[in-house]
Amino acid sequence: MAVTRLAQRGMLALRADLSVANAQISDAFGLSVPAPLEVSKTDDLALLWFSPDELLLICDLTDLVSFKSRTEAALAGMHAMVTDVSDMRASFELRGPRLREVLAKTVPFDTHPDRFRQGQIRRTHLGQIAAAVWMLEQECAQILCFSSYASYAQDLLYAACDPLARVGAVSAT
Amino acid sequence: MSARLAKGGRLIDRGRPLSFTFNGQEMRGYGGDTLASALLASGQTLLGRSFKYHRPRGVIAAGAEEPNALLTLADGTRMEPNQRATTTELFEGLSARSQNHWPSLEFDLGALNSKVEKLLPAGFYYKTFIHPRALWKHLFEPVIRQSAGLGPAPSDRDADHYEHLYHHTDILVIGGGVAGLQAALSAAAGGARVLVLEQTAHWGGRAPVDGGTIDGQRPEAWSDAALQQLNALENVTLRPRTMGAGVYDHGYALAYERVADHSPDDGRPRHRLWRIRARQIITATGAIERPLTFAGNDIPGVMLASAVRDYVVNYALSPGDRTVIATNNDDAYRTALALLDAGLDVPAILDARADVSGALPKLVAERGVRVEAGRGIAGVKGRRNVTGVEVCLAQGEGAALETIACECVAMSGGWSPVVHLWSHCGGKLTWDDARLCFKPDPGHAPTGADGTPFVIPAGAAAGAVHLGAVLTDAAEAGQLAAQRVERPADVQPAVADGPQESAPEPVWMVPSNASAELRSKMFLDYQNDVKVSDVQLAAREGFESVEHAKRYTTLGMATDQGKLSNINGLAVLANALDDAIPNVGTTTFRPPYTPISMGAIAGEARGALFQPVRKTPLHAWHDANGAYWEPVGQWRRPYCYLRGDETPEQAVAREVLATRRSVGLLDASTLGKILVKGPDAGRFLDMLYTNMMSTLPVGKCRYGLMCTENGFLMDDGVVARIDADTWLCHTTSGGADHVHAHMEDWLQCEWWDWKVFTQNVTEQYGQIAVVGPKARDVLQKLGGLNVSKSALPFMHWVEGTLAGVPVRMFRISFSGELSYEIAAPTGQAQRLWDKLYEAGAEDGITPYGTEALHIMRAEKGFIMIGDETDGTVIPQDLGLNWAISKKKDDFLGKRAQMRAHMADPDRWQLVGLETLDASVLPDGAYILGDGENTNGQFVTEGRVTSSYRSPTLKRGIAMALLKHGPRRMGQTVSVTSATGGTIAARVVDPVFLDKDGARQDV
Repeated sequence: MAVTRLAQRGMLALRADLSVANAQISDAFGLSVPAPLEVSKTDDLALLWFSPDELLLICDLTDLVSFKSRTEAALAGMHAMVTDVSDMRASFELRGPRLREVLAKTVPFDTHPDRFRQGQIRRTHLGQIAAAVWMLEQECAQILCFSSYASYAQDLLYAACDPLARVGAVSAT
Repeated sequence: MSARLAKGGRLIDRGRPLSFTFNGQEMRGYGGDTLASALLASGQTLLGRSFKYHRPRGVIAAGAEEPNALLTLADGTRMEPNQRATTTELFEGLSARSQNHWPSLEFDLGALNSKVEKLLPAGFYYKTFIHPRALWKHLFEPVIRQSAGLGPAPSDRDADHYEHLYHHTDILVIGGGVAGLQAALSAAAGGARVLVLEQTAHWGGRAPVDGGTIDGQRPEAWSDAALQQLNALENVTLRPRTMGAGVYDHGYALAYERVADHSPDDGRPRHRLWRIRARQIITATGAIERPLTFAGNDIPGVMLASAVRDYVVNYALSPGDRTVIATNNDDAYRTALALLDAGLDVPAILDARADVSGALPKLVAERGVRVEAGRGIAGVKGRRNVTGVEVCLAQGEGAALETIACECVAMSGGWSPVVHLWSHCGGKLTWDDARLCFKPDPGHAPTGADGTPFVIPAGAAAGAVHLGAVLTDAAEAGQLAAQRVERPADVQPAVADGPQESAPEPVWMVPSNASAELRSKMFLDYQNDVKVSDVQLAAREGFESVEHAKRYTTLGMATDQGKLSNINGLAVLANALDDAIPNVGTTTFRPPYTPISMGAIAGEARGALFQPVRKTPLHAWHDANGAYWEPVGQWRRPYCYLRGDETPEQAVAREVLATRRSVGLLDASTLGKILVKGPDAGRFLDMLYTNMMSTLPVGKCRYGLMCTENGFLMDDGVVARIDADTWLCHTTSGGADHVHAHMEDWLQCEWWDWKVFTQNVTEQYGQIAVVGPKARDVLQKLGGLNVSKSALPFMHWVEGTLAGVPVRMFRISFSGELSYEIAAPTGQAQRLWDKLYEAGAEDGITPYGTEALHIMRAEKGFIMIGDETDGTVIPQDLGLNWAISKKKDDFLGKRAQMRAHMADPDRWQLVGLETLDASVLPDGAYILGDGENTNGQFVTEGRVTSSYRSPTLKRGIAMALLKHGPRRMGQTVSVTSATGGTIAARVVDPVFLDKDGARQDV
């Protein structure tokens, strides 16, 4: 198992009633607004469902300014809020065959492949802190947490990855 | 004496000899042994001393119900007391020692207690230690504390590590006996996710020992095949060495996996706590045999009949050449068969029933064993081990008819289904008059969130007795669970065969008319030394409720929670009260089923992971520059920065003076920052804050107070108007999450139609305060922003670039000095700090910590949430009426603040205090009034809320809440001292420095 702290990316918090702003957002990005617990993704941006009225847009740091103005333009005149939160969170990549087992040690939601599919996201707890888990590939997930907790998150993930603490026979694939 | 048989032993591996020590003496066992079986095989029957009378005690059971064989395992960092030998797997090098004796196990002075046992009946403590009152604290309690408990507490740090694991499943099956396996087969066939737990290292439960056939095979062969079948299913998870510990609301369950107890120091976590969410839970937890109640039933060598055959069949153990069996049921005859098969002698079976005619007794009688109907044991011969029994009439007074020599007594008082897990979350019980036991009442199951049942008992745990009935019941339980999770399948249940059993007879004491002397030797609760005579005494003294009798006698209150004793105890109580057993009822079953380790409960949360530590973007710099840390919520902030040999006090004074004289630098990143935006944001903030925020012009800042619905001051901070419909609310460091949740609570639950969005951006920015008369000079050197008074006046903010870093700069002051608070993106905060530090070098710029911050705000009379407030203080108490709008129709707390008690002129109010001798008052000290109250305590009329030595004023200064405070300026009051006596202090204005605010408005 490998735990990697990812370099900073551009992140925008989008607050709007997604049922109302659906068309504007999808037109602006050529991407459908993600359904609950889902992520919509192209090569240069991802829209993570955060709540019924919140999305997190992740893009390259250099694209942030243009995405921000595109978003603001798309939502102009609506009750909405677009905030640059690129510095707010730390991101980790968790990769390896024991991925779901390591997740089961740290997050309380159901990580069974039938219930937490590739491309899905959960906002949850990681040990004692708030976090979001994004299942990117069969053996790769990204974990987002507030940046002040980064060292706790890293230590916790390292501990959960301990090869001697293998649970086995839990993560049916 | 016990010894190993030459042949047999289905669980031991004679090819793997192991050595271990008991009380320092080297002994030998085999792989697969429990510590109990290995000790018995080494001839060690005496294992410890009882709690109260220090009676010699040995193994009585073979599983989790064992009350006696509690040992201390290992030394130093792995030492753990009160471990059950019957559930401890043997490993090479294990070291164990016995408990609760002095000077030795064989010769224990504490056994003198048993000589005076008539003086130590139930309720002895309550009756004896109540007078004289003074002796309780100084004599009785210390002596009782000394003698309480069995094993010693560990003193070293635990060398092992532990972890939690979350698991979700459709169906959880607790128990891996044949019932659990059959239930799992039925439950899983339709594709449901199934988790099966077994507390021991072996599957199949007791069926392999108890005999019969399943689908024409031996139970062991059937169980192996079932296990294989389950293992092949992808939707089934099987977990041995994992005990279902507790069942909680809505299908939550805890399980305790003993990962590495049997392989210490191999690097694996010692225990793993499974936090399970199941839609349905099947409790296939089996049954526990009850002891028979006769005089001397606690002498080492007296064991449960089922345990005796477990030891013979599983571990090839001879409990002694001759075993007398005492019973009230047919099942105990299986023990006779097991002993005979092993070539051991059964001199007699004493069956308390007058009519003994079942299939099993017949089978045993045919093999030449003497079966005595209507007989029981009058007394057991021997002190530290059994040497024989005296036979009496079961329905008599205990006259000895004959003495039979033997080394072991196997007793059986019938079986109690293990209903614990069924009962944890509210499952009700019903009394089975035929089988003489409490069993789950299927009509009153624990119910989940939707009001439907979520626990299903299966097999012996449901009250089934015959092997065939056990399997049919288990199959039905599995089927029902699958139906409830919408994954049913048709499964042909296994068909079992074996001898039918005739009914047991209610025999709760032998002989039935035993004398007082005999009754005081009949043990009910072995671990807590509770006897028949104790329970009868409790009933006579009026403790009629089973819960009261339990606490008065301590019946069932030890670490075994009465697994063996509860039913016998309440039968004796019912008898004494002349009532029926179901009318007396049971005590409450609470998790965990057996004790689980503290380590498992803590999981990974120890050491660095004990609690998350939040670090600001400048944390590493502080750490490298002498930070003396202070926890602030989960944050770590520098209390001060130590230079050279400085004490923290010296460092704090230096930081305050440097800031007041020149310029200081503060990491204020922890400050809460919440953006509030929308057409209704102004209206929303007017409700949240006591003063007006909607009228704040863009570009300006305003200090605001936030109260709870009950009017109490909750948080404070500066609000900045960002644009027409956006405000930025600063909160206290510890209050950010709470205030954000408070906002969302009101928006989502009460004012859901208001158009407002909030965003907690605390972590998006690092915030640095540049404070002091030279602050402007430093900033001007960096360039990029006009920081002159005219461009950026006090209580204004601007946005721009400072030293190449995008910033938002606020002219706000918590120190009374010229002050700029600069917010920069978290990732660039360190760069900005470095630039400021560099630019301030020639002015001696001084980083300061939280204590200097506190002192400077106290010198200015600024309140601090958590110091001047404690959840009972309203803004009016603090002289903050100026920050409470009189124009607004409403705000949170307004109505509460108009109530009589809140408007009471006698409320304690904020003042400053100066000691007459310039000393520092103790923080939290009380201000004394006149005389004493009716309890003989000093009358108090105020308390110190903040107290510091002011380096600026070179004296102690304090803030306090004082009755009629503002009207008492100049008066002298008495403040309690930490060392006794009082300190005289003068009541003064809480603003000690620069009352007009000239220093900050330059």
